Amino acid sequence: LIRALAGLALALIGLVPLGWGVLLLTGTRIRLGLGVFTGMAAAMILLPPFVYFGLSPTVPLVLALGAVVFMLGLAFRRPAPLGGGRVELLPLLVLAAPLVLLAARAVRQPVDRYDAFANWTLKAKLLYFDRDFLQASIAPPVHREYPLGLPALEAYFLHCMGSADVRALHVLFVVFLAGLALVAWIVLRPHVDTWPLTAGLSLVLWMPAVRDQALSGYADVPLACLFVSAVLLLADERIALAAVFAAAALATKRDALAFCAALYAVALVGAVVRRERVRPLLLSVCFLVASVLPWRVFVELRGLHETDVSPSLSHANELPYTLGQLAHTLVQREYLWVVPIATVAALVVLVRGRDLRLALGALALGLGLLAALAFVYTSSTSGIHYLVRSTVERTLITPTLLAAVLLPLLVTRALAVPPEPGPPGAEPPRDRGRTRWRARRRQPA
Amino acid sequence: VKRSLAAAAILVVPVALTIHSTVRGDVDAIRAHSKLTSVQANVAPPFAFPGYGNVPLLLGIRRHVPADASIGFVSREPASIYLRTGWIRWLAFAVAPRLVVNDPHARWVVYARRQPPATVEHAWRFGDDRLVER
Repeated sequence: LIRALAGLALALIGLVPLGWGVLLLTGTRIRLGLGVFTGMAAAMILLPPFVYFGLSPTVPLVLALGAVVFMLGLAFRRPAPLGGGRVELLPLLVLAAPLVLLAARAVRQPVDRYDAFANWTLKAKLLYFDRDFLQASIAPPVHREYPLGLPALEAYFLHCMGSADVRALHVLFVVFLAGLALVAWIVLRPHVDTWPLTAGLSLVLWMPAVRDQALSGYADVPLACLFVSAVLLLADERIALAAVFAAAALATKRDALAFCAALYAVALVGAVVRRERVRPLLLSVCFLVASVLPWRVFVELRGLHETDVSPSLSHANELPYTLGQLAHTLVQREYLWVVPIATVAALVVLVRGRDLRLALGALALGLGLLAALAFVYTSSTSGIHYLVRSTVERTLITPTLLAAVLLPLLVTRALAVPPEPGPPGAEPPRDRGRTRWRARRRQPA
Repeated sequence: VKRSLAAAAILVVPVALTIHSTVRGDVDAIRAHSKLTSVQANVAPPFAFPGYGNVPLLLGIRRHVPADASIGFVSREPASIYLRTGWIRWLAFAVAPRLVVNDPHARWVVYARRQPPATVEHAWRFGDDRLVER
């Protein structure tokens, strides 16, 4: 066990050069924790193409990639904002408590969920042993057409641990949650006071549904953590780094296709309305398309045809059932009611006419994610009722985590005192709110 | 400051309502996981597959079949059904890195509730199933 934990720690350290290289290339201030999480995201994008060419995701490969990307980062670094993030010890301890407890549960968690042993963890195990399973076949593992970002990253961790200890591997999923909390802290701290933010992130980390799903070995929690990180970074106008996390989400699971489509549609509409940042956003979309090309080409070349989802409106009559199941699940205790609370808070902000961009963006993206899920479900070629019932608890993790992460910002803005009317010619209140958001954003986080 | 504390209080309520059962569930799970033997955690299926299940077969495959080998199956059901059962998916995980393949003529074959031909080189019996090396 100690060897496995030491291997996990070494694996995380081994990802730092890769992460720091990406941070340099995207003009982001270098931090250790963010470097590790960014390294994980970058590895999930870069490792699968090597797997397609028959290379196992070994430690030397990851270190070599890290060296190359770090050198590129030093050569082509973009200016990063100065200033340092002060460590706030008490909030750090409060947020570490749920993670430490979850890690203690994860470290001896057996692989006991169907899709974990039939799909995700089996692929990781086979990649670790360098066994080729990438031909179309009816034999396990199932869903060979899925992207390999998560199994490739897991295989790298197994290499660092020196054995196929798939039980201790569950700790990796706790790291994803920690990474999301870190990104949320970095992005939101300039806009939200310490204790509301700590309480909001505690909501994320203590949420029973997230904790259970994190240790399932499925890709839904990693997908949610990467995608929500991309949302936060995009909202903070760190467009390049957001694209890296969105591409990592795409390398994790096919659901990310629908989620990223919703995210970038909302972002592009906002950018067009404000007439700013359209070009960088379009470049991001091009980057995302380029990042999925190796996977799509590989799927086509190997004949790994997908038959379980076929976009169509032929099952539109199942929409009420699907939406009903989504709504029913979102108000369950395991999800801590975060989506209803976030919706109410966003509506209050909207009605009060302040921070329209925040409220409209949150509502539009939330609805977009649910619409994307509903579309995917009604496009299923198998039994829709069974599919919805058996998967809705985990596919809803992404919208739930998004709502939970935005809650501190939404609730503090909903409770904020409306600004007094200014003298004639002064900015209207909502614009002042927006200006304050931007002005504070440019402060060092 | 008051509004900040009010916001924090609103956000803490859902956690306060559930944290007791969440912590208890985690502690119970930690206790349960620590009691599992290696076979229980890595070889025994996590839930029953009605009509299937043969843990001694899994242990036999892990003992006799080389790690870089592939294993075919001959069963009463057609391969297109048998290789898609939950049991075979668990088996593939438990015996990995040995690959389960759709090839009844592989060097290593499991005859599931079937008699192997008399000409095989080695055969091991595990309940109703036989592991055969050609």
